[in-house]
Amino acid sequence: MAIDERAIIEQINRKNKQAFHDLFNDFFNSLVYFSTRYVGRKEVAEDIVQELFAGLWESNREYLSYNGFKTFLYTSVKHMSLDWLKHKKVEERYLSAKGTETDDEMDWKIMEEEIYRALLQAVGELPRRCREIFHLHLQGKKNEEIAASLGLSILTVKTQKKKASRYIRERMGKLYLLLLLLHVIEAA
Amino acid sequence: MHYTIIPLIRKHITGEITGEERETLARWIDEHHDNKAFFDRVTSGNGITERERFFRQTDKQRRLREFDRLIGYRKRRALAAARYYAAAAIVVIALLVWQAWPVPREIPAGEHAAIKPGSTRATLTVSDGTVFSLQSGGSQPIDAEGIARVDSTRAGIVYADRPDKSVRQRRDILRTSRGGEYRVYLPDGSMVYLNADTRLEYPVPFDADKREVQLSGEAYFEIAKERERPFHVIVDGIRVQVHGTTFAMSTREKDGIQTVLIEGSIGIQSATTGKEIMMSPGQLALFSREGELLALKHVNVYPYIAWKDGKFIFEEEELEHIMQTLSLWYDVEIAYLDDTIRRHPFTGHLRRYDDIYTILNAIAQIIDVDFEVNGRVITVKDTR
Repeated sequence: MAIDERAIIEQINRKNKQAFHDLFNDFFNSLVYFSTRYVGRKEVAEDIVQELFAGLWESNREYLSYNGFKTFLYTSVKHMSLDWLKHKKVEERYLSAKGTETDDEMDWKIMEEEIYRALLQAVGELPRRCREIFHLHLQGKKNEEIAASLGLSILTVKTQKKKASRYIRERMGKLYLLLLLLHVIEAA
Repeated sequence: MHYTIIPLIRKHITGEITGEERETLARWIDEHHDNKAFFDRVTSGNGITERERFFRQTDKQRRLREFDRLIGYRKRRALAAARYYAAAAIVVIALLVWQAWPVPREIPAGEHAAIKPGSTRATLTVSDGTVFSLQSGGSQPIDAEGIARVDSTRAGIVYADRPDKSVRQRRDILRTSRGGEYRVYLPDGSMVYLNADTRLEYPVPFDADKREVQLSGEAYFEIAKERERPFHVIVDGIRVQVHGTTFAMSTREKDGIQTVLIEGSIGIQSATTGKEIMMSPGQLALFSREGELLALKHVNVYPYIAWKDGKFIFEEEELEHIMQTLSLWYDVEIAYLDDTIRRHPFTGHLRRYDDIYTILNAIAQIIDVDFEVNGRVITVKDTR
């Protein structure tokens, strides 16, 4: 993995446009969600994330590892969000966000976001039928409920679910790369 | 941060997880109650639904467009832009090189009139053994069926796209000799550009369910995308499966078969292990002839394909490798007086259709080397 991750970091350090476009595309939603947890307003969060990416593009900072870079993205979003709160004198929110969160808690939050980011991207790769069923499955719906809401037999739901898992696994070749690009896979 | 656990939890949720991974994950969960609490939260809550809904409501497309504008990113044209950029860089570097060396040392000429750069020529062998000699000029049908014709404007051979059932399938072999190059436009619209001393074999027309060609030598591929009919390149112990793409391959590297992917996606399957390696754009894969993966790395792709644009781009390349390239293109033999010079790296951007003396002079100005040309033999000497 190291090779690909190093390559991605290299592209970012070299200010490769494609790499930055992909980066924005891959991380925007998750980072906006992350920021919204502090600032409470989606539009503000979007501004913050956009500002972050513009800053990244213009900065001369170089990154050593991909994981370090990801952590940097999330922590930057957090700091920018807290700055916004402070600036807007939303003291109450600012203090509660700043005062109570430990580094550990921050790490868990980042991990949570990374898992959901990876999941949604992986599922987005599935064929439509599989995806519908898989979505409901991910929402914690039981086979019976999925069958009822989509007007399918329970057997079909079961086979489609299996198919979805198999599909993802079989496409690991391509998906593996995809996930590499999404920086989800660390080591085999 | 437990970064390695992220893919395992994701796989657990999608059901992809395998036995060993399951054990690793279970061990991690047992390690600490915080781990367990986290696992329970992400796997049982409605986090995913919540984010899905949220992600649908963001203004991502507009924001992305704004960002693209800021960084000057343009979709699909990215590759063309990169090429243009590469060309611009070449001009600049070449100028710097020449100005840095105002007094060129002359190479002793000897009998050099015979050495010429390569040109557009090849031979085509069809199933019944007939060999056609292909030159650049003219535009005429070359086989009895009129399926193939030489197209001088495209500097190559063009196959008609005729899914005519009445024509029997045949196997054509296109060969370039040392000092030759040729393009072929296959019936599916794909283009293959053969460098010197290269052989490409393919059925005409392709099968209904696959497009298969065999290569030895060096070629640049631009493959037309056809979802239903995969394109395969077979070389010794490997099979390259192409999914609509641009890439270059060479079977004459010392160590084995080299593939560079420029655009799109390809998978390379080893004939011995059956394992498929997926490549992403910008990567170089090196396989042994037996099909063992020796290296997979990111490279600056342009030097590997510059020949198709009439350039030699050498970046920290060993002299021996450079001389081998020249040997094929100018159809000359190379001799070394000193072995140490073989490993000497040279960086430079040169024109492929230039006289060989221009090329040799340029190299001799940069590194401590002299060339002596006798007939078709170039002798390399260390001048340090």
